[in-house]
Amino acid sequence: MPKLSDTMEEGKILKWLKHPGERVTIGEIIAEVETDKANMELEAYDEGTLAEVRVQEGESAPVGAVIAVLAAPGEGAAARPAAGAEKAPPLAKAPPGAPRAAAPAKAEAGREPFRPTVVRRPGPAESPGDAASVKASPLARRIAHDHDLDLAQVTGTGPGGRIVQKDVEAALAARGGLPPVPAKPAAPVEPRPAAGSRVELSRIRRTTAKRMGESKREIPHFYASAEIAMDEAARLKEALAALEGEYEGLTYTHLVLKAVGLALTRVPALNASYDGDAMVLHEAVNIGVATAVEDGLVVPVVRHCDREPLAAIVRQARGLLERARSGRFASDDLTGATFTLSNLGMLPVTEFAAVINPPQAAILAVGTIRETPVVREGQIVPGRMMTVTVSCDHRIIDGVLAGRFLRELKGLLENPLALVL
Amino acid sequence: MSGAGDYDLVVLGAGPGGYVAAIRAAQLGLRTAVVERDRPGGVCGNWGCIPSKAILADAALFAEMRGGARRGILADNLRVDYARVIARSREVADRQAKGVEFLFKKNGIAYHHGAGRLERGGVAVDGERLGARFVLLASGSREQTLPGLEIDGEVVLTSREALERPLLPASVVIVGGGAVGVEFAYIYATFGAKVTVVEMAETLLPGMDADLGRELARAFARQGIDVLTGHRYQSLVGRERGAGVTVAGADGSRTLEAALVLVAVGRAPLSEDLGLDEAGVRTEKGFVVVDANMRTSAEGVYAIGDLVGPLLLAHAASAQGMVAVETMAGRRAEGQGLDPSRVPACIYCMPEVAAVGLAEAEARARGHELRVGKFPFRALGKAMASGHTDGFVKVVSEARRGEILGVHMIGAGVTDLIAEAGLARTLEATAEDLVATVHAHPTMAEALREATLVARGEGINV
Repeated sequence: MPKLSDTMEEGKILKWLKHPGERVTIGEIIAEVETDKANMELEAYDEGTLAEVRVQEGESAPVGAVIAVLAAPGEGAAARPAAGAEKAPPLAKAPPGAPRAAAPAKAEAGREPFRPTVVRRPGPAESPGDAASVKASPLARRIAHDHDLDLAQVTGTGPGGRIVQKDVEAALAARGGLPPVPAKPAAPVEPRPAAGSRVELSRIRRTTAKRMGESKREIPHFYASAEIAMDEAARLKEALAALEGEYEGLTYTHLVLKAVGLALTRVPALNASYDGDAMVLHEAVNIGVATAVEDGLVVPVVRHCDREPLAAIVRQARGLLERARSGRFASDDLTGATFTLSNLGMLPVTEFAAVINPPQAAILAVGTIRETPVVREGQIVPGRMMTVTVSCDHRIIDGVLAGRFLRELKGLLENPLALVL
Repeated sequence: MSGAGDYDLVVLGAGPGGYVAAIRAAQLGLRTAVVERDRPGGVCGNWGCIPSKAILADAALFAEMRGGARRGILADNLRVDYARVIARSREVADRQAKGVEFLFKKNGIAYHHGAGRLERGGVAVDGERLGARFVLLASGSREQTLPGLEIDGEVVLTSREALERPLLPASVVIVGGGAVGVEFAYIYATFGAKVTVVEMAETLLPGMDADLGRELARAFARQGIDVLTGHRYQSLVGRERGAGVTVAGADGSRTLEAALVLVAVGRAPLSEDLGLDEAGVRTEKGFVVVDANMRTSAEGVYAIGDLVGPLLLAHAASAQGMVAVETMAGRRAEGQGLDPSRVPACIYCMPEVAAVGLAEAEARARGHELRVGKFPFRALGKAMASGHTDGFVKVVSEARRGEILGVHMIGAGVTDLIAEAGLARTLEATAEDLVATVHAHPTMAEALREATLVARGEGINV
């Protein structure tokens, strides 16, 4: 059972889309899994024949448990799994070149976590299998894999009938650009809450309740606030928005994401996790953005906010928002955050303090930008101010670090040119 | 008298576009004739790529020998016989032209010397009529100049005259910092002339990744070549010997004195005198308009190469010729034309410059999320050993899929290294595939893999 979100502890198999004896190709969706946050698709990172299903539909299994056995091509589908397979790491082989390093998440702090799927036993000499013998360019394979497209269904127009990028893109366009939606179990009709009645919590809400309770009980929070003049940032936002193109849909959240990304590289202690007797500093700066959805709160992750240019952050954040609205996240949209941003600036919230999202060490709460008289060089002038509050885990972070972080953040937002350089 | 059934294809022009197309047509069984008014080989073989590469190779050899003392290779009395350099380049060009004629014979292609013109159902050559089902226009281009820069062949030259001029000038002003301009700058400066390159754009080699032009300007500065970017040609005054060229930049105008003025401001299509209008072949600013399969607006008439712009590269013309002929023969699917982002561009001064695909700025403008990696040759063992540490390899890759969008190289031998990048683009190899490819050590080619590693944030040797 792969870990499909940071908070996932177990998963329930809703439906097997592949059955024993069927062939599985890389990137194919083999099952649908209910996690604490969402229904997610489980894709195969390897090919072969599904030999055995160990966790039946409707059953749950903890993360890391063997849920199925995949036989290598050429190996009999009925072959029994090797003894001890249960104790072996759930997936023996990572896809060559997939950006997920095959190492325990803890040792690779900051890298994207390895998400195992299905056991693969080394088979005898592999005969050239069907999927592998489809003639396709590496890029075409990559795109098809990303979009769960079966290359066998694509007509190649490249040299010698090779499937090339544009063939895959045409095939994706033909099916509406979105991955095929496997049949979902019918959602139970939600009863309208009557006055004084008891409302069952949604799955997402239950997870939130459990984790926020743990966080507040376990983590000694402290809070530090700063007022930031947003006049320059507002001017920059207008100037960039006027450029259209890559800055289309630019919001203050995007500017704050970039500024926080840069500030975290300057004060790396806030981009960390408490790990019992160690403080794990993360190399990547991946910022989760607390996002309200119909049945609660999700935290999609914008990656590499420190080194990605602003335009790329805008693109990432926009994509995540679209997927959040449609309720269909990609499997790594919700994993790997090292810091969280909660922005209530679109509501009349002047300031607030947020609860840390464990195992992260800090969270930033952003209030609304308000017009207010400010004193500048002895004069009272109108200004646009925004109050931010950082909540920190006092076990590893002291007040002065929070202060330094706020100083960097304030500097970056008040002189925002660095955000686009 | 000849009639409609003479040929399946008549090709106008025997340059690198026309002669390759003719041979491909003969291979596919088309009865083919080629009409050329000058010499087989076109500008490339006679007045461009090939003879200039001969001179550039001699310049590079001279520069190496002159720098030999640093490396313990001592030579006295090193001199240049420039007339011999030019003579050798002409010999190379002659051999090239003869080679093309031989290939025509070998492939059973009829060769007609004369000026061809479109006519209904074929081509007229100096009064003779060649009937043909298809006509391929491949007449190429000529050097262009600017108003007030009269080419006199003495003081004011284009590359065409310069390639035959056996005398070295003491000083040269080169108007235009594109491929031709920088190659001649290198030749003349290496053989001892005082050279100033004037370029209107903010960097040398406009149109290529800006890092290349900037790096070349730095290398040129070390070679003693003056580079005036952001400067526009204004006027020319003849002197007793040479000329005064006035140029204007942001900080005002100035007059440069030189014995020779080389005009390298691009090429214009040779689309006059082909009977295009009468035949209904549409043109835009002199360039023939074609579709992806190189068809013009006139039935049965195709066009390729410099005549259609805007690539203006010999190998692009050859590749377009294949597209055109294979379309005629029913061997090429509709719309499967030449993808310009897979056509490499090479410049042969030292350091050499080569690129394929999108420049970084262009890739960003198209909205790609990028991973860019740059690897300097000075960090490479082979480059240090061979004493060629100028330059770098830059890889522009798409962030999520790892598509190799563009590769930009400057340094010794990069015009040969770019082929690997071209292959990567054609096969749609990803950054992952480039990194997975084992490169021999020590070679200059390692730089491409290293730059790709840098783009992935996994650089080993920087």
